[in-house]
Amino acid sequence: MRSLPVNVSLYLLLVALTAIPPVLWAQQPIAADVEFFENSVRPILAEKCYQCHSAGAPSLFGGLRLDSREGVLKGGDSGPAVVPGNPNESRLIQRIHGNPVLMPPTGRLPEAEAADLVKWVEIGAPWGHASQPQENPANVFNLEERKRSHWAWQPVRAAAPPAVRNKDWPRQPVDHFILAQLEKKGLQPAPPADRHALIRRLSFDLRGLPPSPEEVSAFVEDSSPDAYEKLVGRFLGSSEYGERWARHWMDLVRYSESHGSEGDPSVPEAWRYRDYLIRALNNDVPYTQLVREHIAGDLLSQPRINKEEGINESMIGPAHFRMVEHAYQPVDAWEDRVKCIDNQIDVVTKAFQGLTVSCARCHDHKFDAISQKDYYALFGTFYGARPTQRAIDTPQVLNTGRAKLTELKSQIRQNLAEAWLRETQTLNTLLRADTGGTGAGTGTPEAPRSLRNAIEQCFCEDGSPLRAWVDLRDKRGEEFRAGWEKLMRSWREEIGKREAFNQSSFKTLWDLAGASFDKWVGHGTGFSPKPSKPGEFSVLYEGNSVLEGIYPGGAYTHLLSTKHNGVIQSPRFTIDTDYVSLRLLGRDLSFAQLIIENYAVPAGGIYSMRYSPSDDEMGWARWKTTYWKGFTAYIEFATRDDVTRFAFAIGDRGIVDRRDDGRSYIGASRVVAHDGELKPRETMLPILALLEGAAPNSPEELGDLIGRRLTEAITAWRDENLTERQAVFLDYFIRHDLLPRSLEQLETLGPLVAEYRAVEKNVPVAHRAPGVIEEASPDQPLLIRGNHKNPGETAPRGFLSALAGDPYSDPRTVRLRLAEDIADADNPLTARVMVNRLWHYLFGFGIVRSVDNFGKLGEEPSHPELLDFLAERFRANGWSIKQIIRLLVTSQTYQMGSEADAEAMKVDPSNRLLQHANVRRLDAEAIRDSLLAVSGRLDGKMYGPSVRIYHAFGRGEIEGGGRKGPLDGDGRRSIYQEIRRDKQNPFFEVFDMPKPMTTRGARDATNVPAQSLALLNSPFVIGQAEEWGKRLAAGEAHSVNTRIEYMFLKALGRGPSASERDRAATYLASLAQERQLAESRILADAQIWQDFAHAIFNLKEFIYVP
Amino acid sequence: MRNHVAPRPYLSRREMLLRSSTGFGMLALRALMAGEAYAATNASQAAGPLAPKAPDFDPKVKNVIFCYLSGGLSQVDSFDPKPRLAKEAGHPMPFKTERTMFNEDGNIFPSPWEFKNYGESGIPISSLFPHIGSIADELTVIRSMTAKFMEHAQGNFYFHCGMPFTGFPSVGSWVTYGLGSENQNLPGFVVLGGGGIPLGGVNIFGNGFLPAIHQGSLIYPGQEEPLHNVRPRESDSLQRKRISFADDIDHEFLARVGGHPQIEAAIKNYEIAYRMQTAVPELVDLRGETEATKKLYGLDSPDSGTAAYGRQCLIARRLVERGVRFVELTMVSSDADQLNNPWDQHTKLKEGHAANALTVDQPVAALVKDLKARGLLEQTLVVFSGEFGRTPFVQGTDGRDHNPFGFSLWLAGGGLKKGHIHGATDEYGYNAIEDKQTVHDLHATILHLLGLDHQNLTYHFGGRDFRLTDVHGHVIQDILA
Repeated sequence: MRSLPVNVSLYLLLVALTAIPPVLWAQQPIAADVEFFENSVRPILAEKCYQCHSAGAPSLFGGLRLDSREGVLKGGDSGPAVVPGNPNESRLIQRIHGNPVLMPPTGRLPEAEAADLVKWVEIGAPWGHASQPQENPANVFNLEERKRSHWAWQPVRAAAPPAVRNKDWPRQPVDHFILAQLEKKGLQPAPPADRHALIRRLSFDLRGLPPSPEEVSAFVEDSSPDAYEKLVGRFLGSSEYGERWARHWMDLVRYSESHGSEGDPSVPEAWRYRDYLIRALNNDVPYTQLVREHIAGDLLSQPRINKEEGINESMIGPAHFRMVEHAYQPVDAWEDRVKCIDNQIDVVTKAFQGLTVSCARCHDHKFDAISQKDYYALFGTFYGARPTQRAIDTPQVLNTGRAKLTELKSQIRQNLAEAWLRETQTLNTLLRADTGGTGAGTGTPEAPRSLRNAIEQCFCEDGSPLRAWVDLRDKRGEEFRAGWEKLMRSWREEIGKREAFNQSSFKTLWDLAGASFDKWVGHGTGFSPKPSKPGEFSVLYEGNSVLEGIYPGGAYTHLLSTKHNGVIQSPRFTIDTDYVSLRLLGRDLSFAQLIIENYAVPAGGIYSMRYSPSDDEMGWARWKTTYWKGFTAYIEFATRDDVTRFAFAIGDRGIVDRRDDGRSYIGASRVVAHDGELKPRETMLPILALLEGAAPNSPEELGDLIGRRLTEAITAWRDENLTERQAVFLDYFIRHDLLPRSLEQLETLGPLVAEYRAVEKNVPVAHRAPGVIEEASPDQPLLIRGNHKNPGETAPRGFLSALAGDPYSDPRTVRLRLAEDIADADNPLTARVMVNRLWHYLFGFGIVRSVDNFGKLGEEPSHPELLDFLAERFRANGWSIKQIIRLLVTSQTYQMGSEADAEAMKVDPSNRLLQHANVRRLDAEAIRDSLLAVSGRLDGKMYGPSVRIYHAFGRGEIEGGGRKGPLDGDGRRSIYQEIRRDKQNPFFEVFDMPKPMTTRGARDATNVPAQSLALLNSPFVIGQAEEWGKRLAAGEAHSVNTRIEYMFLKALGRGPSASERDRAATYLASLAQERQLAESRILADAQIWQDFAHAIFNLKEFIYVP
Repeated sequence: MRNHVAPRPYLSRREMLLRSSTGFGMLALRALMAGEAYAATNASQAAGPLAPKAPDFDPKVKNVIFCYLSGGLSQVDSFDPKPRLAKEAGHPMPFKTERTMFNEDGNIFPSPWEFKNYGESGIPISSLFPHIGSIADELTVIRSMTAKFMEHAQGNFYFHCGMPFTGFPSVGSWVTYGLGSENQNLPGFVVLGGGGIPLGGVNIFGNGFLPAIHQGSLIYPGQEEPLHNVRPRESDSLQRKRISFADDIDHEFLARVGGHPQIEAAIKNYEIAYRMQTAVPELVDLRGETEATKKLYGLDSPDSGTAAYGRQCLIARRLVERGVRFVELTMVSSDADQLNNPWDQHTKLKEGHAANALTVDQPVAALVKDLKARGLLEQTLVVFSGEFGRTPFVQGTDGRDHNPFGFSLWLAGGGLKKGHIHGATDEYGYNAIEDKQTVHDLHATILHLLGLDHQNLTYHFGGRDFRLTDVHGHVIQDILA
């Protein structure tokens, strides 16, 4: 051993000396006592006490440590735990003996253990060998060492395909790797599969459907040398390819259309993600591009645009983040959020990296080079991704007509302003005529009804400017002046009081008309990047009115169209008041919500902080937040279809019952926090505009003043530099129809408005998909032992330290950085994990059989060089999934027959070396799709909302009042059937469709009697037999034999053997006999053929593909 | 370590032909088709996917009947009397309580029911459960249960799977995974459906990541088709013809692929499925039971709930008689809105709890008595519990909110101290303070009584070994006889 530098060894010596409890210096414990302590006392302390009272405790309770003698003697907050030699005075003993027992919290110690503790104190509380529990050096976490010693972390090193003896067999480099290993074991590959078997295998693997009889015949008869390659090309190019492989991908991201738990709330529009996958796979979008889109598709500077559909495909990628399971109304929303992020980390790291990073939530990974800090680096990276619905159309689509509408709206404003300016004269005249009760003015029948109404209403309105008029119009001279003075004073006092009340009672969280707008995040066509100035308005899309009114400063979604969508969210804040109130307007099921942590599926009760405005004028809504003090939250304003959960009991299925033109809008101006019950008082009143400037001296002058203020306001509005006060004043006159709003009164505006409406009509309603929006949050603390209530040191955001270096410093781009780190060409796992998955889906087992775990507890690759060869090829081919699949399926290895060689079974019973093809059971979807394809019921329609689940048991309803779906799923392929967490299609369930919980790269293929029962008795299977039987009976066939031939071909991809044909004929004859059917009538009898079809469906070969 | 079995090596073609064509499998099926009694098939059943497996150590019981009171039975109104609630009725709770689900917390709300000491053991039980009172000396009451979750679905998942979410195996699944079952014609884990499914959905009886054979099979005794797809849709003769045809073709297929254990097992499953078609209707056919038995269970009760739950209890006995390993009873409720969690009395505690108690009291007591009379009680564990308890203070004016911090359940059967009370809550019945037990402890104890070490019962999935008790759980030694 090399000697340590002097200063270091001296240091170690000091540490060693100070670690020895001082008492032991004076008095060495005798060996027997130490033994007693080690055997009888320390285990009790370790098991019952250390969880709270040791260095390793998540948080030290009562300041007491029982893992050293020093700690025991020093004690905790209430004093020493043990007085050596005196059990009665030792708090530790008192606490274990109390009634009720105080310690340990798990319950009273068994008598023997309690007695041992007493004895230990009596003999002076001797301590053992070391005061700190010793860490087993083998368990010490050494990231570098672990990385060095495990194959998966090493760079991909592609080697040339090895030489083989049998030079005739290989067709692809892949075959060299396989054959070389077989030859090493003295094995030869199985003979090739026959063409019938081959096309069936290939068809299921690439399309998830059986080949049609025509396809089989064409392939079998095609003698051209590239017949098989052509077939591969055709299948890979078919749209069914994407439908097959998208489902594999959905297993990786635990695809679900609901969040589970009580109520099983929907993930709105989740199916769009499924369609996105189908399109992406059919278009062979490079794998790394898909990875980038999955992690940060919402942040990509150059998103992938689908010109044909007019959608931003990249935006849909992050939808999988939303497919988490949520608790129902969790009383601890933070705990729920921690679990959701954990699930997101689990899925992303398993799916794309084949790593079980989630195992490092509570401690450094037990086996792999993944530290707990790494976990929280990712935790922080995902922390800022807030759930929301995203518009997926391209900006071009979403902005249809925007320029034109903006231009027209400006003209409408000018035109309106002119009309209104003219109208002020009329109004002034009317008011003047009414002074002194002379009768000609507002009180007369000639005065417009609107003015008469406004005058009537002004008595119960807050701060109506006409109230001043009504009060003073009869007064003259001094009386008028005194009246005016009094009025002014009372309003000033009133406003002063209100302002004082507001100031003392409310803390403004955000003023959306002002500077705090920039701190919010938002998206959607409707929200502008700047706050709206006072005086903005919305041109009504139908009806006689041009507008409803003008708005104060704030944020609005509908300034050009109520079809525009918008979401705007506040910064995250910690709730520390009893109430939060907000000033907002809106209509048509737009929503304001207080989202506690990220719990975006509230229903009511303790999550009742939702409000759906139904008024075009600003008003205050108030939420009680006492329950949530201490939690972080944010506020969201969103148009109808951008809300992550629909209102109340409506449920998203209820959409059809609602107006479905996509119109909805919301606007907001202020958010305040307060502890008193009262909402803020209004201080911005229309009458205030009259209080400024020189006082009028007579009703006439007052009339003039009103007219002048109005003229000023209209002019300012026209010039777009209105003050808040002017806006309120002007809005009063508009909404009271004292200024004309209707097209009848505004003749010159007609053509402009008509044109505006015509353009607006073509504004599309955005399509939404589940997504996220980045809140740009700070780094997050590590949670000690994974306990969400126990934050530790900050973990800078970044990727696994074994794979990358720099922390992610810019909070806005953390997910982008992660996407790049995973998609990095030098990441050794990304390519390996994916090619291994492709291998698994085509051969039945991965080269690494534990497809989701490349870590130490996973399996080693059976052909490591092949794995690296494929990984390298994948990267070199631009990450084309189809090219790897093509490479694999055109190998000799893929085309082998499935019959095992006896020698191979001895040497390699689990066929790891691939001496022959594996017989595989079809997965649930392929079985169902086969039934539909063979029966003729299959509806090849692609895409769109999912078909509701058919389920046999439990309540028929699912959220939103939807009933169970059709028995045959409308004949649509299985991928289009809805996936919900609390209900599964029993047919899928029985054939091992995984639960949407975590990444599932390899499905089970179990064998249970329930499968036999399903194929024998399920109404769905019988229904398909009936369907097929009817078609057969109605179709042409020369003989029973030719029909049997055809049925075998259609269902099994091959004709019957002679003995099978005989057996089938006997069976048919006995069926005919049982049903008392003459032989001549057999061919046209649907029932017989249904029976026979049903029997074919029950053949093992129907679901096991050799 | 108990873990899943490595795939069986392939049989040689010769072996395969011997075993499947002329071996027990085919013999059994042919014998069956010939209408012979299926006693002859016992030997072939041994290797089924649910074949009984040896426990880790001597078991105390063989079967479990789990009466699940979804919604949450109130402890202070059933098995944990708290006189202080009456004394301090209407006063605020004297200490800080945790956040509740509905945040409508009111003052102390005494139990509307009287308690009485029953039997020699003198276990106090409220007047809600007079029949259960009559079996008090068979019971082990735990008054110090705790759960971790406030909400039904999470509570249900936690109580069944040890985790609050979907995707983990239910306790019944773990038990059949660990022990198999003694009847191959019925599922090893049966859930008797009463109409509702506890909140969270059927996945609370799910196999999670365990093989599908271990998932709870819902049997609805009252329905035309008690088990999904178990009723043949055609004559027996037609079905036999079909199975026989398929079987012949299947064997050609099996021969062509050189023998394959999966395909062979799939063929074998038709045998089992065929027998299930008889076994399940026979199970739910109560005509063979005596009138006295039916009366004991309350099948003649004027209360339709009692009669329906009585049928479940009687069938539960028939299931354990037939060797089915794990039986769970869901609740019955006449209140359509409360079908899934009948005990959830956020309002109208008095009416709701009374109606539910009436439903279960007589049948459950009858089950324990009947099991005892037939000598089955000592090999069976009966568990009677909800997912959590309820608050001792009022919610609104007449309900109780959820309380996972201290609640009661009882066990009856082999290996337990009888007429015994374990643990205690505080004087208000709110927090468990003495011998506090977790759901993991309960799971560990159930497995222990079945002869399984909960730390040994693992399944490797997604990169790690999973246990029912995760990294927690201690056998509750103090209640063991």
